Amino acid sequence: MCSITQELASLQKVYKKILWIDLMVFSLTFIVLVVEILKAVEILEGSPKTLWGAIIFIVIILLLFIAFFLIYKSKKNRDVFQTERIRCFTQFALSRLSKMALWTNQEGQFVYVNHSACDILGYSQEELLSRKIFDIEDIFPVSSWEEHWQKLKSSGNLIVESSYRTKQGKIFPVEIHETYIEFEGQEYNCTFVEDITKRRESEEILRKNERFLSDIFNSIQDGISILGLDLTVLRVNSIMEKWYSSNLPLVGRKCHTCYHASDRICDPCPSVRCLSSGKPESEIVRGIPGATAVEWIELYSYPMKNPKTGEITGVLEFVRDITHRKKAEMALEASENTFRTLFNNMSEGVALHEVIMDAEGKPIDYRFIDVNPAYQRHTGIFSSNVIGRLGTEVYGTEKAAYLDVFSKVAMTGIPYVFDTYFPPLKRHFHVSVVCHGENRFATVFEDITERKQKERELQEKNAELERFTYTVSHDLRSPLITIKGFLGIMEQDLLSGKRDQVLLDMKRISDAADKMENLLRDLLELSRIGRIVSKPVKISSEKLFQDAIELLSGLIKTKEIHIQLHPGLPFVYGDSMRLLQVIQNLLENAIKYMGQEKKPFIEIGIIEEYSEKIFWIKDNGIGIDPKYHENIFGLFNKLDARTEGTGIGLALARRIIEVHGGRIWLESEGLGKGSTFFFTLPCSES
Amino acid sequence: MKKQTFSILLVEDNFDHAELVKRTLENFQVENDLFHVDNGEAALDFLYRRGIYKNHIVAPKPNLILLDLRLPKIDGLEVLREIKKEEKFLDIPVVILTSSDAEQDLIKAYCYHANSYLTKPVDFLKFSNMMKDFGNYWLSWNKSPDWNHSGKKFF
Repeated sequence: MCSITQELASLQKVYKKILWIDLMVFSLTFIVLVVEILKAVEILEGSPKTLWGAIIFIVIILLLFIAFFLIYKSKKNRDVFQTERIRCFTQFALSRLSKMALWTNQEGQFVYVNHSACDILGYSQEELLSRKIFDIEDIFPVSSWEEHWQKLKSSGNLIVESSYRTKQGKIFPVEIHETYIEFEGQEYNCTFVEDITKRRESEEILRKNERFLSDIFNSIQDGISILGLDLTVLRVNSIMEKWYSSNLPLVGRKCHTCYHASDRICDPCPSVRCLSSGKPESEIVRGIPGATAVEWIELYSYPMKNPKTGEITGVLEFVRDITHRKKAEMALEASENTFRTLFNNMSEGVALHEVIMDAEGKPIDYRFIDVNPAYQRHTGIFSSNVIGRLGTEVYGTEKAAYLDVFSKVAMTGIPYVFDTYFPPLKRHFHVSVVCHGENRFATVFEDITERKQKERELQEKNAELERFTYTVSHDLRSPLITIKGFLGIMEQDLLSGKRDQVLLDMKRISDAADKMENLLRDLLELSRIGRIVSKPVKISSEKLFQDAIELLSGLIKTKEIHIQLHPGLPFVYGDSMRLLQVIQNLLENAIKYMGQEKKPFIEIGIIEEYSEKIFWIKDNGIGIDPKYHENIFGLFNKLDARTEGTGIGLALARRIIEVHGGRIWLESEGLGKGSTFFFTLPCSES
Repeated sequence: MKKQTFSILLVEDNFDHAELVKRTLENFQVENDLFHVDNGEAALDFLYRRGIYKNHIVAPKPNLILLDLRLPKIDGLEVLREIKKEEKFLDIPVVILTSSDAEQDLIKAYCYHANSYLTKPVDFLKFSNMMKDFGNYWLSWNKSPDWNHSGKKFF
């Protein structure tokens, strides 16, 4: 260092000298110029002294020549100084460079080392210059030196990393910039060496950080994909690579290409939205069908921003595999659809309710949550008037209907089934109650009003059949008792020689047999009526009455009965033979029970009540006590045991009228007051 | 045993059956008066001495009622109920004599306090035997209040 300072100081002296010469030359030139100018002015004034003039002129020219020579010489000195100055400065800089400068010759012998090299390696300049590169290079083998030299020679420059050993034996990493130089016929390797211990350390830290972050990145079992502004995939974690293993590599390609096999930006894409909005976005999108087991993904797109400027730099896509969830959801949806379809199309009415309780937890009412279309069909109540309302409101009852039963099911979860007649709707229902959630219950019901009706009809039919069987068994047995009884008596009488009553008893037997025959005939008749199959025809009821009167004309004439047929008798629809039978029977009864009336008459007419046409047959005969008005229509029922016939007539008449869809009844104020029979028949084809 | 006149009210719509009962009872040689009515209404009229039965000679209080069930106008069971509702008839035993062997009739009859229930056998021998036993039991063995001769009235 000392030598360079001294060198510079001597250079400085030379430079000052040169400055002096320059100044002198400049001053002389200036004087000469002034004299010449003055001379010129004199010549112009016109008084030249020719010889002197010439001598002075030559001297001046000579002086000028000397001056230019001197200037030229000082200029050359100045260039030499400038070069020397730069060399000196370079040398100075080089020796103070923080990097190590270690120059070797072809043998690896150091030829130049700078201060840094001495300081860092712990040697003095002399010590180093007496050593070779192999003494400090830690890993560089001597054997490969020649090869390395040739490589350097051919390329001119090399940058290598290696490690150096200090005098104290400490080894540290270095970066070596080598330059091959040929100088004065000698070959040199001018190397600048940097201690990269710090760099290595920070690199290690960076690497550790990177590994740490990368581990985190890859440990996340959701996919992470980082996109640039142009939607190019910048980085993905291992899950993404696993999911999209058939589409690798992912990085460097557009997201829609590698994730969705599409050459266009997907719509909708939350990442695109995120890039424009700068806010997190999300979307459920399809994975690549077939390419991966991941069929459904939920994509969250988070904007990545420059923390200083807030500028969006990219998108972090967080990709969650929701295939299982989605499939479960879809299965649930499918199941929901199935049950909704069932709910909406089933013939049974369904109503879902929740129990309403008071402060003490006691059920006080229930609220409708939902009802199906069949509910409306069965109840006639619109679902909009039901859902969300209370049981008491919907049915207009003071206490919610069946609250005890329903709340018990809702509390215990034990289903309950019952049949009921529901007065607010005046219908019968078969109801199944099930619990479908805490404090909730569903009623599944069907309208069984018609079934109940049928059951009742069946019960009535059965009762009728029972009555019939009872009657028949009783009434058929009676003549048998008579026959066998009197046969027994006759036998006894004949054995004991008593013959006076035999003929009378035989008549009794014969009559009983006749009665039995009549009974059987009538029963057969009755059973036939239930099986009318002929299609109803249009019949004039007036004609029917006239025919009946004609058939009974003998009796009418004998008893001198006046019969009046009122006008307006309508057409009816039915079986004319049967209807004639009814009319004949009614007229016959009227004639039979005329009694001792002096002016017997029978009137026939029609009245209309509530748009229903009612036939009436009125007589002034013996009349019938009101307490027997129903009784006399019973099978084989007779008011007078002594009268002829089996007592089937009115039972038959009622049966025929009812089979036609009509009714028959009678009115009579009592004995001696006459009686009036009424009946209805269909007057239209339906 | 002192012979008494035992009066029976026979309520029977079938005249032939009434004749059979009459003849079988005659065969049994028990002195009795048989009064026959052919419907329920007439039976009640007889007991209450209404209409044509006003006179107590025509319609004495019977010692026993033989009642058929299927009767015109007022049914036998209805007649039975009427009789048993009336206190003054409670001392008259009512024996049902019917061709019906229907269970419901039997139960109903007893529920209405019938004293006995007989069904008419189709076989004459049985019929005859039954009537003989009936006569034996009710007319001989069975003790009944005798109001026609003592003049004492229980009620």
